[in-house]
Amino acid sequence: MAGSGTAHLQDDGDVVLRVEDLNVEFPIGQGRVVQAVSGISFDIRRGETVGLVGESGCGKSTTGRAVLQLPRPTSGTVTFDGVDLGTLSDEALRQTRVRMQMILQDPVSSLNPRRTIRQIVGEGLTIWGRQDGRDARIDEVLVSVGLDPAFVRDRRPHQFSGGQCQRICIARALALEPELLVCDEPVSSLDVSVQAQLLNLLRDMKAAYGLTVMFIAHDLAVVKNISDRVIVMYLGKICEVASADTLFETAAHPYTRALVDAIPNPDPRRSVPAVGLRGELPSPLSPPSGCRFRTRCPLATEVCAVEEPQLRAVGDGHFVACHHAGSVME
Amino acid sequence: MHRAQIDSAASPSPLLEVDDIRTDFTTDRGQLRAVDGVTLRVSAGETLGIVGESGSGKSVLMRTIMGLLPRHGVTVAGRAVFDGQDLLGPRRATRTLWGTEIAMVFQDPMTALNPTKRVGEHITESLRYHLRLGRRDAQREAISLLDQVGIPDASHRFDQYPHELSGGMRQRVTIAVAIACRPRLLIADEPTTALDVTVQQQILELLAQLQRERGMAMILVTHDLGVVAGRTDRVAVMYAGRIIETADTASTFENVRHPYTEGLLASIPRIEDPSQKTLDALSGRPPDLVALPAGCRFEPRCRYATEQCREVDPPLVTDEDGHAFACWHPRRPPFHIRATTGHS
Amino acid sequence: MIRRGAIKVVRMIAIVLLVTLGTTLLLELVPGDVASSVLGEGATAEQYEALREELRLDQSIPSRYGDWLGGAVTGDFGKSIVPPVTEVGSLISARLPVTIEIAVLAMLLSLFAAIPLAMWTAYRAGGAGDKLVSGFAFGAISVPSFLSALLVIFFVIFHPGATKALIAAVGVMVVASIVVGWIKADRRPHSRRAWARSAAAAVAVVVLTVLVVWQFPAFPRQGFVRITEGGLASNLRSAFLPALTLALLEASVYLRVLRADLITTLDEDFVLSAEAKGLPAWRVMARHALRPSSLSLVTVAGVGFARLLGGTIIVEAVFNVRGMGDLIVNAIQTKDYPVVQAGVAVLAVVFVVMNALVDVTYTYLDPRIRARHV
Repeated sequence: MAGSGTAHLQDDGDVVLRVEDLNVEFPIGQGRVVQAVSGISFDIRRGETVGLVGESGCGKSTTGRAVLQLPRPTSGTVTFDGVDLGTLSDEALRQTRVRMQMILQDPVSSLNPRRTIRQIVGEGLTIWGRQDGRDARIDEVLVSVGLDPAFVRDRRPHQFSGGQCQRICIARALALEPELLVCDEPVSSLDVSVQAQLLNLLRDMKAAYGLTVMFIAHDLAVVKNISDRVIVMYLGKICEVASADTLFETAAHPYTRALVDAIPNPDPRRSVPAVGLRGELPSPLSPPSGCRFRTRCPLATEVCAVEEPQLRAVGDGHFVACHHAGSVME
Repeated sequence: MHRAQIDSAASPSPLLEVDDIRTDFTTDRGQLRAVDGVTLRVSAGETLGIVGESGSGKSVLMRTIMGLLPRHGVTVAGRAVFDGQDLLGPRRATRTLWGTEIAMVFQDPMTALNPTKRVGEHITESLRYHLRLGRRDAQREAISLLDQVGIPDASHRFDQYPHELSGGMRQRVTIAVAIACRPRLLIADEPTTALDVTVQQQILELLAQLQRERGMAMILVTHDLGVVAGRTDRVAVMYAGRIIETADTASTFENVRHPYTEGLLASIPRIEDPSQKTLDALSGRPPDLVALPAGCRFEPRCRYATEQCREVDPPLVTDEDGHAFACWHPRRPPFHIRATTGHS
Repeated sequence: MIRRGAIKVVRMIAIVLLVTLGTTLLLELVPGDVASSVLGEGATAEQYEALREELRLDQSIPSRYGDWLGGAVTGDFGKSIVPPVTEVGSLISARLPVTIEIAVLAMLLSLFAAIPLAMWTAYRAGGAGDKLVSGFAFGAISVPSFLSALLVIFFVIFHPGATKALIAAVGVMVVASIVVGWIKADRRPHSRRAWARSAAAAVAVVVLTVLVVWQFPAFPRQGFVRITEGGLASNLRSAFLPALTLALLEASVYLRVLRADLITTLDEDFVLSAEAKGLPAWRVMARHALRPSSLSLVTVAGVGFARLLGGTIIVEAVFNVRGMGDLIVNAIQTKDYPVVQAGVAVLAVVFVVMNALVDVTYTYLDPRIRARHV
């Protein structure tokens, strides 16, 4: 992994979001910084769902926030619909944010407990001066996320389950008719049956509202289910980019392979795979030289310590940053 | 009513016998029965998986057995016996079992270790208290235990504080704490839910290995059917405070009888399914435990429900294969989960 | 680590300097002229000028502060200006030990009472005992200290019989609860150790109660006896009632703070894990719950101790003890500025040192704080 490079960027005019050489650093005192995201690039086409997957500490959530400029990244460009967000003034950025909405992992704490659902869903409309037909619009989005407006409108978040709160969060995001929806682990705190409902709902919403979705999650099966393309991240870098189906059938990166193998499978006849990855995630304070995955990689050789692998094409729309990608695919 | 015996095939005298446990919480909204008449058996060396979503009562059941419920506002009825000793008696009487015969691993390794105590103290504490080991012996044994649970450089880790370890390492420590006094039963309550998948795989493998080496019985509590699939002998599925289906693991997955289990399996996104596949999700959500439906508790969400289900609560019955389920319209075996296209 | 310590010391010195400089400035703003109030009516202009010069009132504030500071670092705080003229240093060294003794005794009493009671009430939160103790603590916080001082005097000095009866009753109740615990617990061989322990506790309580009731000392109504004058026993007797009065309030505050934190901690997974290990409740409380719960207690107790060291004017007045509170308040009333200045400097040092101690205690209590700083 854990490579840089821009070979996977697409050239057609349909790209709605383009991220180039994004770096996010957090100071941790005494002049030291953690590189949460190191020089990653990717793009999303209009109407596409791109999944960002990786384990904790891989920088996927930081990337999602950096795209929304929350906070602004340390360096790199984020181009949304042809506009470089880094060059916008705070006010211009605020005007643009209405077109990019976010859904977070914990739906209950994302909702102000003192407000009614009507206030929560309608607040954006009020702020942006869309008072005409405000109540009708609130009802419309509540219906579309599968809630009964008459029942829901005047209640407060604590009266709803986690799954229902997440539906309310989706309704709040959709009320402003955004173009880009960034979902950060939107279903990981939910029960399996509710998670399935929400995944189906997100798919329906995407079709109904013509959304472009950036879907961040740690669960590969969930990401595969919802995404058209998937980006696998490790320690602030991109390992592999491919269409969802390709990635899981012919994973080219040893890290992707290990992730796929680690998924617990509800089929007792399948033998439990031997433990794939040994060791621990290295400290992001002093990431390994060369390929950042090499300390845990079963295929690592000398070249991995010296030279950082660049993303390169190994198939149609399939890019991988690994010196030994070929041997994984066999 | 829910008296069907869930007998263990392995041993005539089970290690743990739980009979008709009911755990009630007094809440502002009235009595809430979190566990309602659960009966189960665990034999020596066996692994039982308990699967359920939030609110199913699986964690309350474990805490009832472990005597870890809040001291006020809870009443427990029923019987829980470990190797002839009553577990639901006065706490002081059962305490000598905890940590020595029965041990527990908690969900979140970030909070299950005392932040103000060194890693080693967590282990030496039980060794010294229960086994009366001296300071040096306890330390030697603790380092050996850390080594056995796969912590590199154990003697160095012994002196560190929990916050200096990663989540996976901390969970290894809590496992070392749990197995320190060689318990015969290990209760693991969602031991991998808070961990990354590659770490989850390591921890589950470690638990299985320790269980083999030490002949421990284990109860693996989880919300994830995938976690129990390859790693348990039997599975019990809980819903709204009850066991609604239980059988040996292979039968649970291959001959699913209860519509809830069926729905749960269909709700899981599978890595081998094509992208953008619409999931066959269960509709609705679990019932409010304060206002339960009169008939079957799953009826409001069940696609096969009939008038009978609305009116009469189905008992847990056992078929000729020892597969128990509580449903008026069980799925007919052979029910085969779809053929899998393996990748490894 | 050394660098951090050095930074801390520099910061502490800066605070003390700022406080004392601030005092100099504030005293300047107080209406009325010192020299004329010292001399009284009918003094001549020459006397007035001479006194102003002697007191350096004719000089600028910075130069006066500089002079004062130069003296202070060598231990010379000047002389008081109100007769009888005395070395300020000797005034403070006469008063400070009295205050320190009462403050230390009050702290020991309150922590000794608050910590076990907080552990017990937190463990039994919501029970009858908790409600009784918490209600009593709430009452003690609400009672002003002059009233609690009078109550203490009323019971301990004028009705020692009632006090003895109360102590005996508490002792009997504690022993009774231990015995009830015996009867309830089933007698398994494993619990022999616990038996021995609770039997020892019961005997200790009985012995202690009998000893206190039998040997109930006669406390002086007022005044303070120095060790050098009346020996240790009468010194402690004279310090006990003021300390007890102060401890009533302090202990109630500490009890509430610690109880609330303990209740939060008892919900933590690591406490459940300790219980699941089969450790007895008292051990879980003392070894696992107490330390992570004591950060707020340390903060409150640190500030409280510093406050006690500054003197407590009302309690000192009721018991006629001449401590720091008495000294400073009198000095302010008589405009005896060198004494005020020196008193404030002592207090500033006390507060700064206490705060530093609290910080050090934090890092001892929670290794995570240590990690963040290193």
